[in-house]
Amino acid sequence: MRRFFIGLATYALVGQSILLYAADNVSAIAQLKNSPGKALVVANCIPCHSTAIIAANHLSRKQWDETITTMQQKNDMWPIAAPIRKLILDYLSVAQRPDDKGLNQGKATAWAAPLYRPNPLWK
Amino acid sequence: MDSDSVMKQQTDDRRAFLKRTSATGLAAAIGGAIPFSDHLASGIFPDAIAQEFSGQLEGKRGLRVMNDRPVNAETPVTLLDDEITPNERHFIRNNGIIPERAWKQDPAGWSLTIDGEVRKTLKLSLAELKKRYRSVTRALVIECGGNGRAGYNPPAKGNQWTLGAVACAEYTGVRLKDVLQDAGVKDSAVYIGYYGEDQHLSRDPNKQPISRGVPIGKALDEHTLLVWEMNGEPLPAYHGYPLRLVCPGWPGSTGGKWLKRIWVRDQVHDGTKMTGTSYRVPRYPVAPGTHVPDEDMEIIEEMPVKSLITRPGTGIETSKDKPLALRGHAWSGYGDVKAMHVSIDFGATWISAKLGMPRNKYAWQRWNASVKFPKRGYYEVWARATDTRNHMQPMLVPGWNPKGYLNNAMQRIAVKAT
Repeated sequence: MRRFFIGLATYALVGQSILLYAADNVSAIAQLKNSPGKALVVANCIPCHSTAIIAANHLSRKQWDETITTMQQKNDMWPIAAPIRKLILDYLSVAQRPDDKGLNQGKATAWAAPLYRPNPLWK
Repeated sequence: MDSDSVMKQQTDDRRAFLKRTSATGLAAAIGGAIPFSDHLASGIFPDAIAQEFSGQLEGKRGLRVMNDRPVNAETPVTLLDDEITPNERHFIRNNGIIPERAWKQDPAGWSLTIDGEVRKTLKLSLAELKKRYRSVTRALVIECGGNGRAGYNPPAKGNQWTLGAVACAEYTGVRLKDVLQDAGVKDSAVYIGYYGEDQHLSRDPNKQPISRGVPIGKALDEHTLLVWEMNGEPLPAYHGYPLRLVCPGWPGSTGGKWLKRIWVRDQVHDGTKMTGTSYRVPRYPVAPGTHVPDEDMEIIEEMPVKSLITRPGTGIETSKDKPLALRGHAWSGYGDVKAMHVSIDFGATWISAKLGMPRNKYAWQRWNASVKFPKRGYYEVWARATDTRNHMQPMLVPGWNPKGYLNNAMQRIAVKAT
């Protein structure tokens, strides 16, 4: 853990040179936002997978709803009562929406930043 | 401590950490009780508090970790400069839980079964596999089908890979063709489907985390290998110990890891991640964000032509009076790359780069160029590969598809000339 924070501090100080000399791996895992419903999302999703993949995805309410259905149909996710499902979707459709600025964090890597300009055809 | 002990120590630390984590602790961490906590598999990683992730991955250095369960990590592009990617720099793409055997590097009780549309079912130990067939060593590019996914808008579902889900390591094994021919492929054979020892994330023994494959023609291609060695070492745990399949030029997911069975099918394989939107793209171009019905999706086969600029990194300052050396790699799922060009004027004019021969088919090719900037200011270096079929990399992110596959847009780096 300590090595990781030293790694982070080094990254902050020397910027891209760590890309050449990094000893440790750098975590690009984002935290889920602290807003109501997070605990339900965490409790229902982490038995199988990390929150990292939730935080990395930015989808519409309909797509999140489909994602839960897929998890239930294909990946053994347990049944969720309708009111709980609504609270989960309320959280995901706001915290992890397609126009969330957090989306750009993953792209703000030194090497990838010049590649990803906004697509002017999409609003 | 030798490297084995270091690895064991890390594994033990990880286990001890997992053991300390209880559902109660987890509930405290997330500020609420967990419904169905008795369903939680024991030893679950407390991802609610993902800052607990230490950045340590056994045998890996300098990777950008995108997911800790399952582990998915890409390589920063400047760390892909080696002609042969060292194991510690090779990206990781996992779908399930890595088998214990792979962590212990223990071949006891392991075998590979070849069955289905064959005249005789084969069951081979690692020793038999090594003894019965001729060994080959090849440098092969493995690229994740979703490499570059982060470029798509609207955002595509899945790990948001940027540039680094690609590598070219040297593998030793046997041709799948030799093994299949030994078993005797029947005329009814259409496709192969692989099965690995990795577990589904739910730990449901009736589910596979992934079970994909290739048409029988690709399976019988002389470049399709069953490999046990990566850069002269037994396959590391993350890369499929004791045996994996490599179908070069096709999405990395066609090469099953922790392999235990190859099922020769009389139909297109329909295992996990063969259907729906997984590793499939629309049969026709679609507008960004379109909902595409399953029946209009087709399986990805060859990966498109692509290249990387591995030196220098983006954002450097250089003198306008001195030439700047550039280099990287180029590859194509179709086979050889025939030309490599760079532009320092936003694509108005192109400079031909020196392009090396591949070590063997499906290895990447080194390119080199030297450029001089005419005056002070901000420049971008764009790099573009062209394969022997005359396909070249697009300047912008190519056609949107629901899962964001096949982004082979040119890489660009920013350079300030002073």
